[in-house]
Amino acid sequence: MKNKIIISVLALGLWACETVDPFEVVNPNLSSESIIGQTNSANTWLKGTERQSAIAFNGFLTISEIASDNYQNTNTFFNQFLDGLDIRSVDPSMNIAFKGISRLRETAKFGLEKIGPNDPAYSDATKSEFHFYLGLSYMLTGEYFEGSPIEAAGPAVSAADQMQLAIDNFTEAINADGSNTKALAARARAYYNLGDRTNATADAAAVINTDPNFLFSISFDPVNSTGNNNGLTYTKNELQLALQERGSFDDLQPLPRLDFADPKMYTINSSTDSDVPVLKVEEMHLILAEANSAAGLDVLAQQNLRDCKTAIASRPIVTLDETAEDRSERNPGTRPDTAAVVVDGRSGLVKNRDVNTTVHTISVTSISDAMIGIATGDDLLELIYLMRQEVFIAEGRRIIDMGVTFVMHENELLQNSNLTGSSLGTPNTPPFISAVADQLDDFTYDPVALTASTTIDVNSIIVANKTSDFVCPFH
Amino acid sequence: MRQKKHGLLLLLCFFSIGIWAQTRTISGTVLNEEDNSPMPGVTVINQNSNTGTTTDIDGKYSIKVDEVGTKLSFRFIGFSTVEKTVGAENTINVGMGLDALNLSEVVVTGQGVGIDKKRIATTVSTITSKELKSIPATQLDQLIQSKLPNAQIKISSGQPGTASIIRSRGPVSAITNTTPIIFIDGIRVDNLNSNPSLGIATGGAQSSAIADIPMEDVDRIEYIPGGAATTLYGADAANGVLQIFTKRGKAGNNDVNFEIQMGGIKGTADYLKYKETADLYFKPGFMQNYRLGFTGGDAKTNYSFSGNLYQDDSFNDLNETIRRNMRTSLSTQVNEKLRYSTSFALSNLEFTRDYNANTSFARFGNLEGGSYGDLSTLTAGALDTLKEDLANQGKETDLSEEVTRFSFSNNFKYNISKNLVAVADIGVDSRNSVQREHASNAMLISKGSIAPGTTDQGEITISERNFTVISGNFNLQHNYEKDDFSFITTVGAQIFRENDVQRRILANSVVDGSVSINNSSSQKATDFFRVVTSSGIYVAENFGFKDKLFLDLGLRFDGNSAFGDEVGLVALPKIGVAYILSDAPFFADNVPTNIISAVKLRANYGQSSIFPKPFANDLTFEGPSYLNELSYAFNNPGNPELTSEIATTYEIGADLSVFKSKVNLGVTYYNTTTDGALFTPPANPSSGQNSQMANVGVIKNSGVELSAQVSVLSNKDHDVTFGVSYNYNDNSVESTGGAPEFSVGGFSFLGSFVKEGMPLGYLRGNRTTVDAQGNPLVENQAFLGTTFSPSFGSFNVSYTYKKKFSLFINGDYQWGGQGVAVDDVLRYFGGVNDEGRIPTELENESFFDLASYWVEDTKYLKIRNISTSYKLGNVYGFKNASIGFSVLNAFNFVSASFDPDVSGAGIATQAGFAGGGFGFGTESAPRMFVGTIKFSL
Repeated sequence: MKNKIIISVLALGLWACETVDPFEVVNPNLSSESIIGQTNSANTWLKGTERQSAIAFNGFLTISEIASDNYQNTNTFFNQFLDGLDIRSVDPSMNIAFKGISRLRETAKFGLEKIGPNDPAYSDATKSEFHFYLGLSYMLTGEYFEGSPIEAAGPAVSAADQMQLAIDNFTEAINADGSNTKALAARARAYYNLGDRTNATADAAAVINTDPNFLFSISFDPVNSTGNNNGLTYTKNELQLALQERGSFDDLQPLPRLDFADPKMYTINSSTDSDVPVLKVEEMHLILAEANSAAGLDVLAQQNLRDCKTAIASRPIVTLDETAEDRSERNPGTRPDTAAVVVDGRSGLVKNRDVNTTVHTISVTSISDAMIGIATGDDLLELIYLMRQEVFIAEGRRIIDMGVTFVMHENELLQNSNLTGSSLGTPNTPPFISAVADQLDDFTYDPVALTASTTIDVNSIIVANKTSDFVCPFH
Repeated sequence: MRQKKHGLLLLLCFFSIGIWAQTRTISGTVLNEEDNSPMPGVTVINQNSNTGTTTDIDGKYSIKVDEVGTKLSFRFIGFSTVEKTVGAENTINVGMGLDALNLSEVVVTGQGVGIDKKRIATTVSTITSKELKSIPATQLDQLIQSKLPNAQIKISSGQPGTASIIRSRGPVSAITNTTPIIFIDGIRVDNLNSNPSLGIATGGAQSSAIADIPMEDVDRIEYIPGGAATTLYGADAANGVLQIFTKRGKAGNNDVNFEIQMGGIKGTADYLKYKETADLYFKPGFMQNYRLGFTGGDAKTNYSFSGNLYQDDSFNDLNETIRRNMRTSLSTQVNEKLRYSTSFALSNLEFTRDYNANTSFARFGNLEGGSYGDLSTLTAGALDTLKEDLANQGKETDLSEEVTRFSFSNNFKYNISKNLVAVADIGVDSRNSVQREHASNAMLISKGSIAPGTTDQGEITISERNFTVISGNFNLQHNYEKDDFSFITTVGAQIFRENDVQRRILANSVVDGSVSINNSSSQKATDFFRVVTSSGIYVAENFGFKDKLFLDLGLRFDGNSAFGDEVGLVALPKIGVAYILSDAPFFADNVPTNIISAVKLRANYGQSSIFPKPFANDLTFEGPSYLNELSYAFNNPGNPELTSEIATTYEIGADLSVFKSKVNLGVTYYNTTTDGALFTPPANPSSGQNSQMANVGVIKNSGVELSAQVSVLSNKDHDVTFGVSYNYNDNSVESTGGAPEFSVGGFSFLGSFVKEGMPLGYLRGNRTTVDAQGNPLVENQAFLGTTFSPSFGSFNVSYTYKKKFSLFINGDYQWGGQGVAVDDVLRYFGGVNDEGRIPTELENESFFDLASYWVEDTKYLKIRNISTSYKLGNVYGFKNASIGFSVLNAFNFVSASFDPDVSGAGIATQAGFAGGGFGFGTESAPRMFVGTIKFSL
């Protein structure tokens, strides 16, 4: 009897185990099979690629602005080394910057190679976009790094070779979809970076022709952002946080002569962050201006700048309550904070921060037609670089104009045998910039006389060294 | 119908036994040898039939025996077990003496079924109900703080429901914190000692499941710190096992017990930078706690009920805690062979919290972090305005959490035969926690975060976690004695399944005044799942020779759903030897027992494990929403070889009782190596991939554990004992498998990192010195300290006068560790940092390069608890009345400018590595003054 009971219990137990397998666990995340080969997977993967581009921009945007003369980091938890152009391979920011762009590359590649070809609904337009983002990733690593691997633990590829890869992909993008203007604009910039005046101007002119108000921006998603600002799921606009949201600490502060252009990004509402312009028609005008200036065609270059101003004039202006942004929360009187201040002999560069402060979200310039009209030669080139600085503020472009690049982080150097003995962990900063690295954000300010003056004019340094390989690609 | 037949047959069987056995009753009295006082609650066991009873309040017992020669054993914690053989007489009186090393104490943890302490080669710490009673705390970690000689417990915040760091031998793993796994009555319970994955970060305060483990009616706590002792638990026991046993009612004692506690709460000002902070932020509070219990039973069945209502309004204007607990236990002798016990507990915890640490909304953090400048320089008027402003902020703050939890255990003990017993436990612990943050426009305006008049920035966040763990274990123990040999064979199996489901809802542009998320412009939801099943089978053999030499062998095979596809079962062996040297004839002949009364030597080797994070083995993608559309992204790269990290421990030690048992000493040396340590090293950035967990590391821990318990004075009137422990731990990461160092907490400029040759989670930051020419010299990523103090211990003093008045003091100490004065980093931003901290010649350096100047030694000695009580006895018709008074967190002597216990820089991931040591805008556990009245009816 007893045996029968035991056997029954055991049998019941076994049957129960068969019915409910306690080891069966279902991973709530997606497996390869649930994506690859599914209809419309390419479009969704493209959305993911766009999202990754926002994450990638977070990786280098804020630190680029801090490293440049645009912004000073006044004791925030944002990168503290780069303000003095102290570029270290142990700086976690170097890892984040490179990783974000690399992930954009891998994402676009995976879309082109695995997702797209297996999706029955894959379209040429989507293919064109994958090529665009792949090209963008090459262009960005080429701009921000002297050289870098372009595959997991791969050998280093030079910036120029990456720019060529970018051009190839932008061409593929245009071939797949002739209406992909942003690929055309990006190619113009890639040619510009290579110093290819002919192709750069041809593409730039084509963009202006196609869309005189051309703008391509990256959008952020604060609602669906998770993790902290160095994570791979952080989709808030980090630079907006650094520029305008007064969280725990003081904000990044602009060079006083750029005060009027700040903040380009601001809190729209709790579910919408500001976009970051990536490619815009202003840049095309500026490429043409620089090409004409390099060719000695100053009159044409002046016209290009005027055209650029026209494009800027059509850009939106919004009104912000900037009372919290008083420029000197912790140390009153240390920074110009009223419109009455004259900076470098020019007035109107500093704004009053009040309830109705006007802000330019895409482009703004302080350069008047009169200033354009009298500038020739190197003065004109300097003016072009000033306009580039004003137009591109908060877009991470200034350090590229300055010829400054980041370095490979130790996470790459230590784990990539191809980089053993490589110099990519050592900064390759132009000597003419290194010489003034400590003073990039410096200015003097007399709060009584209401005058301020910028210590270093980086634009004149750039122009003085225009023939150097670091700057002014057309020279 | 068939069932009925079975029942009938069984009934017949029992009748047959009743008719044929020549049963008679043996009775007697059990007395304490020391003072001949009767001993209630002594367990009397008929070893032939494995049935038992307990002595009543007068020490009397009666038990049925079948035949002459039956052995009776008498057991009581702290006393040597006495065995008597039944002869012709019907009365057997017994005297019991103190057990010097508690060698006959029965311990369960790590052994499958209970086993005499002397037979095992590892150490088990026990906290008795008497010791637990001396502390007015209601939370497990507070209760055991300074009570376990070889463990250190740090409460990370004075805010309610927050996490603690519980550590004993040093961190064996980089993927999880040092919290042991916890069982109540054999059932595994939620021990999450960090914020859940989707939890709301209120600035760094970590919510903890430890805070609401139902602590009603606890009889005893056993703790094993890892190593061979935890081998039989497999899965994730390498950090130790803490087992809570609840009370069972006792035959004949039908009691109703009441306990009332009331007291005051005061914010601890010991660590404040500005004394003004106390005036501005602290507000004395009141605590009240009411407990009602019934206990009783007869020879077959006993029961116990305890209910408790606790409320306090903390040390500021915002925090409030309400706790409602109840537990019912029932135990019954179903038939001669089967005993069934069950325990059901319900715990409900509600509290409100303030923002703290890593957010600009933190009032305390802002005061201490210099956001309002140097408070000592503010005028009385400015302070009044500030106080009003802070009070307004407090009024608008709305952070709350509610936890409802039940745990249910069922224990079956079946005596199959005289020598064979089967024990099975099955039960569930289910915990539902809901965190809420209502960041109203009014609150945001009060914090200066948005402009006055804004109406569309209000948000409500709700984070809900439902956790259920179902666990069961089955053990079969066989006892066999032949001449000088004894064998205890245990085979067992264990299984648990954990389900962790979390949801988080964020509602945007919520209208002020709305409690519902419906009144908002949009809502967003996220969820999180983590499921894991673990099971193991094991066999253990405890072999004894002449009752003084014991060999302890065990082997467990462990399977886990979190293992990679290419991983099968993990084998965990253990082997140990225990030798009661003092029982050896040559020892007894040569060493006078009044000098050395007992010596036990022990040595063991064993493996224990921590399983990987569930799903970390799978290759996955994710589909996050981006701008209201679905998007795809890479997620986990996957690792089919992912398996448990294995901690292998060698341990030797001795327990000594000297000077007529007045001094008891314990010493243990251990050496633990974690092989295949689970690290998530940073991926090559060029891969663009997420980091992948892998078994690549090696972590070493070695050290000594010393403890002493001294009876300083013991006579008719006075009893004074003193206990002290000292522990030393040396921890280092032997290998990261070639991976570069990576962060496990803190900030990037000054954080906790993992690097070869350094302690796990060592403090890393830049150190700048001044060279001979007066130029700054930067050392990048320097070793700045370790947050786990290598030296730590606890101490206690207890004094009893005429067995009526008692005084109990305990505390703990540490040295050799470091922590970060984060508050002063913040004061530095405000230009009001501590004078002299930064050398004047370095004042213009980037603060990233000045990291080392904020690292301080964290030596401390803390008197955690001073309790007195007086037994009134039977007064005004009440029985066993007593009154007491306690001070909790009484005195702190600390070398650092901050409280080394608190930590405001959170744990990076759910249940992730926690090194603590970031003194960051966080209030310390408050000082409490509590009066207690207890009585029975």
